[in-house]
Amino acid sequence: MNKYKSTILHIFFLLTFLIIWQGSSVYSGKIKFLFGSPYLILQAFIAKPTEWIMDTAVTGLEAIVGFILGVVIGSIVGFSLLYSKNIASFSRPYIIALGSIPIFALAPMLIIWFGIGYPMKIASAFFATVLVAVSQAYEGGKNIEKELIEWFKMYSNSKTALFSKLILPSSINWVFASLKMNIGFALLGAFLGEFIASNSGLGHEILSAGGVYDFPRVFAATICIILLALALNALVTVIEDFRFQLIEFLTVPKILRKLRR
Amino acid sequence: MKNNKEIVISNLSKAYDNNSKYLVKAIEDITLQIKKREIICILGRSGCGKSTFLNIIAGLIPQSSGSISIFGKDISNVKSDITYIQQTPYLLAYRNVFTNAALGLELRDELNEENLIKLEKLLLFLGFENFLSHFPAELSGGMRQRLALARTLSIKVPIILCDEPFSSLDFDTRLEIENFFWNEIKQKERTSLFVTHHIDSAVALADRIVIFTPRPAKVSQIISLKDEFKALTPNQRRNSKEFSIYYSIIWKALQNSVENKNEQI
Repeated sequence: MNKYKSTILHIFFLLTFLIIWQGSSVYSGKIKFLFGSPYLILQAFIAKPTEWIMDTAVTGLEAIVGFILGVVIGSIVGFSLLYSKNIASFSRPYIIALGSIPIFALAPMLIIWFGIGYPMKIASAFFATVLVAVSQAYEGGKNIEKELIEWFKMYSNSKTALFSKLILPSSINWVFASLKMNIGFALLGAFLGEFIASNSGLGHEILSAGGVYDFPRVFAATICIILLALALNALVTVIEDFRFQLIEFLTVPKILRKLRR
Repeated sequence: MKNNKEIVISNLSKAYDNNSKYLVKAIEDITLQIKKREIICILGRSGCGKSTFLNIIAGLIPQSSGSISIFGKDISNVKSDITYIQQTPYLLAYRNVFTNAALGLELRDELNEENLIKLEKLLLFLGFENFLSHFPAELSGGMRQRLALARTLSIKVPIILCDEPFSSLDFDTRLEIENFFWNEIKQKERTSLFVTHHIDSAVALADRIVIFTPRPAKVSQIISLKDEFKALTPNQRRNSKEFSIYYSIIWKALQNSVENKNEQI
């Protein structure tokens, strides 16, 4: 009942907002120029629907590929840091320093290193996510209770078992917890990459529409970004919900999975 | 030639070094011999060094001086013969009840149908009938402790160290599990060092009761129970007349351990 109420309230609020927006744009040409209007935005969508879908897909794919590369490589680096205290404490200030670089500052280099094609956007998304992944994997591994590690060592001397059954799954929990944050960063990275140089994608769309003061198109692209972000977030939530099952699948022996399920 | 003495602890001491400014003595000069199939209960004030004592035997922390040998070998070589139930049950958050309980078997490479069927029986006995695929976060404190107990008892290891494993169980469950634990030790020829702060648990379970002085822990008194009483199960012991007699003996002994200590100061 409550859920219904809040949904109705949301829709009501949105409709009122759209009506006021539309009404004021009809009333004032200035507002129409500065903010467009819901009708003009709708027209911008209808004018070339396939292109919008393509642009969204391009930005989405760039973000996803960069995200996967960033999370996988970052986690590998983070885990390896666990195995050497010296290297970890040595590299700590550098990781913090590198993590504080805004991805935009790398733009000129990104073009020279990776060109102006898709690899550049993927690299941008990668750099936006990789350091978060490094620190999450490392912190996750470091946060395991000492007693649990000792308990493990009482039963097994195998370092592989310690890693695959304790360190990896415990920190993967951390890594998974940070995925939502990272998918946002990846999207931002891909988007910035498109802003620097591109011939497709939502960043390109906004840049070119903004250049000719076509604000309805800018708004349309913004709506696409919002929808894309929501979709990616939903995807990550689904993956996150299944993380225990995934960890079980990866680290629990078959004989245990077979029984009782 | 089999040596009857399973664990021999001689002149064991442990001091913590606080930034080299002063030494904190946790354990001083403990000598104790434990026979096979024996349950030794250790009683003492909280913070007296009981957990430290078990941690040393488990090989988790090194002793400052003295020696411990198990089956005539130094402890560093026989780690695989010891299992330990810690005060706080450390469970893996990402594994369910069944896979958590099987972890000990898994790490020792003893996963087979037979062991798993036994493990499942054990879990059912401990009240996990409808909880086998639950995760630790969904369990109560007492259930977590029972799970840690199952994880430990499922392994075939001769020596079981227990650090107040039943402290967060309600009274009824505690009685039931103590009985079960006692049978497990006696039938499977295991040996246990059992730290507790419940006098009644000690009387119900132990063959001998060792009373520690407050910090630093020394052996204040060792109370051996009579053979006829030792033969009884915990439930039978609780119903016998001698139970309350032993209870008051130990109660006095505990008070003495504190008073003697005060005189020394």
